[in-house]
Amino acid sequence: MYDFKMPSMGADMTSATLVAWNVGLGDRVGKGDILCEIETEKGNIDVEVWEPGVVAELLVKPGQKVPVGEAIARLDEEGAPASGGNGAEAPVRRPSSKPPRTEVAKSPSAEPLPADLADSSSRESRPSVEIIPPPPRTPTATGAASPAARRRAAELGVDLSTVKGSGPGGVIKLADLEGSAEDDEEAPAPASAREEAPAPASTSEADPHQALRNAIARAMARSKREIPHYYLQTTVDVTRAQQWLEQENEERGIKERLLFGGLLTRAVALAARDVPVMNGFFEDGRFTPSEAVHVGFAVAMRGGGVVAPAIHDVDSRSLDETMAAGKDIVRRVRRGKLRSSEMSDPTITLTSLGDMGVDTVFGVIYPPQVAIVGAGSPRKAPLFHDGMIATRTVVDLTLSGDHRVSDGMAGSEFLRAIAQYLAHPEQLR
Amino acid sequence: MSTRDQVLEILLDVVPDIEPESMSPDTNFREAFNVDSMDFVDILERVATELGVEVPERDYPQVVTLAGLASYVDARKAG
Repeated sequence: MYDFKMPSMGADMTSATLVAWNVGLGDRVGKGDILCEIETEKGNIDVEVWEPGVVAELLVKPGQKVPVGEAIARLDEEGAPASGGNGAEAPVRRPSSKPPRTEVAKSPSAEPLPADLADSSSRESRPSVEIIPPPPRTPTATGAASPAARRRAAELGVDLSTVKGSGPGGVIKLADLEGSAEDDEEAPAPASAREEAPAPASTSEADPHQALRNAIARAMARSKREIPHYYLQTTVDVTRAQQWLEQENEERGIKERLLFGGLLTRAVALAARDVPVMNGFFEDGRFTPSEAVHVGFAVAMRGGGVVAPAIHDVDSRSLDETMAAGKDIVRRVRRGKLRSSEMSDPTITLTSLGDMGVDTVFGVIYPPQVAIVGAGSPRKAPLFHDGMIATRTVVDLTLSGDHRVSDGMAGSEFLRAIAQYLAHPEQLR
Repeated sequence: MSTRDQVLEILLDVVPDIEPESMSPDTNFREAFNVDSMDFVDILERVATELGVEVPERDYPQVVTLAGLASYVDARKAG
């Protein structure tokens, strides 16, 4: 028997609220199965199981806020007697991954693969991709509600139009609902658990937007405190990459169309494989490179804030698969739910301003990662090309690196590798 | 329901931050409401599915306003 603890979804998370159990007592669960849904400052997340087992005990109730690291369920290991009465308790597993991991859960994709990629002859060895459809959206006259809040409202019989939302833009959050439910049968946490919870800082608890900002601040302050950052910048000619994209997209339907961000994600992943000191985790005083490349893709959230969930195994995916996974993740950040593996295991982060930003962005490394690549908005600029000054499309690429692990030489090699891949976009397919 | 209403419904569904009351038909909604490329693609995918009109990449500049997108859809349907 082992305790399944509230997982950490990153350096900035201290606690989360259980929304619902997806399993019942006696259920057999396998690796990657969804144990429960939690509400965090970064939205709702499906928590996955990392070890197969049988659910023996559920220790918290929906609506209860639980600190990271506190047991939320007990699971019997598969094959072990269900009673677990011999007292031989297995050491606690941390669901958040420890690098290096070569075998990882696949990111779900709401997009069907294009026909040529779904072709069994080329892809039959790939694990199946689990699809989580985004929750149905129920537009209300008064404004939006989080999926968890909608479900809870249905359970409680609360009319959402009577609830005042405290989220960004008046979005109704789970907490708003708990306050409005007059007859809340699901009692809050037992007193002991509540006492253990950190005392809420009044401002952050009352304002979800501020709570998110505080969470980001915790992670970034830790990063700046612990990581000796160094910064590099280079301007990359992406004219060829843009032309290649335009040609590709001419023949593609709207759903298969490629974005520059997809090329960039692939280029970063392949370069990270070439320069392994950029890809992995610095923990307990040492760096462990990761064999897998999971690119954390920074996504702006509605109402402010940013989250960088992982697109898994980008180095071994095709460009189309990377695009589909990226689109799916952006959609789920903004409208649905992320999975715990996506939140906990990026091995490197990419922050791309897309076409709505400014020229240059220097990222702050997200611990325990050791590098973050920044990409500014593509722009036209005069550049020497074939011995003449020409108007070219350029992107400023930056690297924030961790001096405990690498230095400017390796960083330069890494940025040059990204530029090389972008110069040969057909290699990124 | 007019094409413009249908298009507006899609816009609001994909980007709830859009405030219809502060948007004129000629407002560039991408700039005014920070609609990034991912959201923009989502909008156009919905237009393709629900209104049956695919917008090729070269025509993107024509469809960044409510009026532009609605008249583009109408013109394609008529043509």
